[in-house]
Amino acid sequence: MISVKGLTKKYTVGKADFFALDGVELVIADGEFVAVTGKSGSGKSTLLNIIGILDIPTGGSVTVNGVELTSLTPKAVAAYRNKTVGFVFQSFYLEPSYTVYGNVELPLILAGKVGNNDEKVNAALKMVGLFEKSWEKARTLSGGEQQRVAIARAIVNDPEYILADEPCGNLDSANSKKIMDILVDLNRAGKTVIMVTHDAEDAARANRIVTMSDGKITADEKIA
Amino acid sequence: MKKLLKLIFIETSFLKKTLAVILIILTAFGAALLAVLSVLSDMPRGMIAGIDASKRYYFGLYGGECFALSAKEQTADLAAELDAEFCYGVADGITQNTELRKGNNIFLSDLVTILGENEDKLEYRVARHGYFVPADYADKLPFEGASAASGIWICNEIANSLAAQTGDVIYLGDSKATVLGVFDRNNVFGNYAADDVVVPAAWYYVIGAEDVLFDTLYFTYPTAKTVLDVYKTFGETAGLKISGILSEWMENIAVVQTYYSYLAILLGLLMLLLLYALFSTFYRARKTQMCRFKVLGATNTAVTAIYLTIALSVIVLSVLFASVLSVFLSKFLLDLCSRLFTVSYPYTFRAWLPLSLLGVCVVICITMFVLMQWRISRLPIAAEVRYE
Repeated sequence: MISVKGLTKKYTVGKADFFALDGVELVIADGEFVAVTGKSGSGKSTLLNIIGILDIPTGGSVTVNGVELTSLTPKAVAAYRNKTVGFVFQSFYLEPSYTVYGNVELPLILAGKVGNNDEKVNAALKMVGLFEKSWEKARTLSGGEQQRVAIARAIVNDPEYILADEPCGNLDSANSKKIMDILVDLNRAGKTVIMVTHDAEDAARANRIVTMSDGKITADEKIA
Repeated sequence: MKKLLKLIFIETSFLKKTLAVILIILTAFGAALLAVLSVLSDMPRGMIAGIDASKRYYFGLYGGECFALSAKEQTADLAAELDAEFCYGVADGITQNTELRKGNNIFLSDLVTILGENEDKLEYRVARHGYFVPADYADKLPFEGASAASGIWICNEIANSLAAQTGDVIYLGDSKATVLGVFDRNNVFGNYAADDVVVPAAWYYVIGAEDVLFDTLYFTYPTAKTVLDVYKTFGETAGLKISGILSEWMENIAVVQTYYSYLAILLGLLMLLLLYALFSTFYRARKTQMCRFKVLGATNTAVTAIYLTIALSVIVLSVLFASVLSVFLSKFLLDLCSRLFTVSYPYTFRAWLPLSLLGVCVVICITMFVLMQWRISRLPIAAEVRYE
């Protein structure tokens, strides 16, 4: 379970303070598929980054499975990013010169699993339908395929939470549908998915929509 | 370690690209460094001058100087001006590269071990074969056909090894020379001061004196900072006074040597700046990738280890490549290396230079590690992820 309490993130530009997050309160239960929506600059990506410890809050707290994230040591932070959460970004964030297999294997190597990782990597690649392209360079793939590689990389360590920031932002509708199908499948398989999107259609695939504006949650609705 | 190796392995394409750039820079830098070393190695090694109680002047050209015609002429002029009784040059360098023998059968031992004044064991290697032979140097020695007063002096250890004594003829390569006298290595000046061996305006070439006159002096007078200090101290101890004119000349030499030392220090600083620039460029170029690794769960230490290993591997490979290239592709540099490693250099120089370089490398590695850890721990991951 993820519990966000009084979360603030303040940026100072010149002499003016700007609150990207302003007292956000949110609880996400295990197994939920939460879509965080809102206009650009509403703070949705900042919220996701803080949950993934890619950013540090100015105030408030985020607790994941009872552990306060700001209390973690640098080593524990690395372990959290490696094993507890899996990231999917709008711009894929792959290693372009690595093969598909190399990209997906990377989190396993960083976790210290340096032996034969075929089983886990191949399973992840089969899940996203890219097993046949294992030995192609990531840069040679289409946008949709690259995003599927990114999802395979995010799930290869079997994390509890998938954090997706505009996963379909750079994709056409056909590829967007494929990506959303995969995320829905992952959620059905028991993963908690938190997805930031500004696309209403994508958000509708989630079972809960949280709407943000000016760093605050303005709506929180569950979809039947 | 396995994790590191595996990551480095999949990073090889990057390694190749970076290697090419750093190779060019380091090769240029290595060439500049060797050029400075070559200048330093050709610097006058010093000139010995003295005046004893009977007001007789001695002039000594030391090391490579005795082969330089201009230096000999300059010394002769000064000797004439001061009404000096004789001049001499220490010709040890020749024996390191040219065969020294008596007749056709008696050769000098490969190694003559001498116990110095302070129980220091001096190993004097002579008559080495296989290195470059300075034929042009040997030609300049006025052995055969020179005035009757000219000839060669040898130290007693060499005399024993060759079973030679005053009046014998010995061969230095193809040159023939008459042994004018045998001297005690620990009392070179004393021998010259003896009335019965001094021939006015003669040139002597001395073999077997270098270690005593320079290296031993460095050990004997550890507070001496420059060649000038060494000779001044030696002169005072031996009851000799350094000539003012010569002292000035030697001071100039010392100044020039100091100047080159500063240049070497500047070059060292330049090297550090260059490494920092390389490191910064490397860091900037790989910043996004470092963020990616951190997002995927790499610790600061792991990221540092990955990139520092790659960077240092590239640097080490580059230095090795530049060294091999320098040695094998340039006769000049080959000659230089031969001279650097075979000519008898001061022990202090030989001992401290590699250690200093090693120390500099260690400091650079530690500095880079700390700097990289510090920078990586402050990577703006969120911004990087957002704006990639």
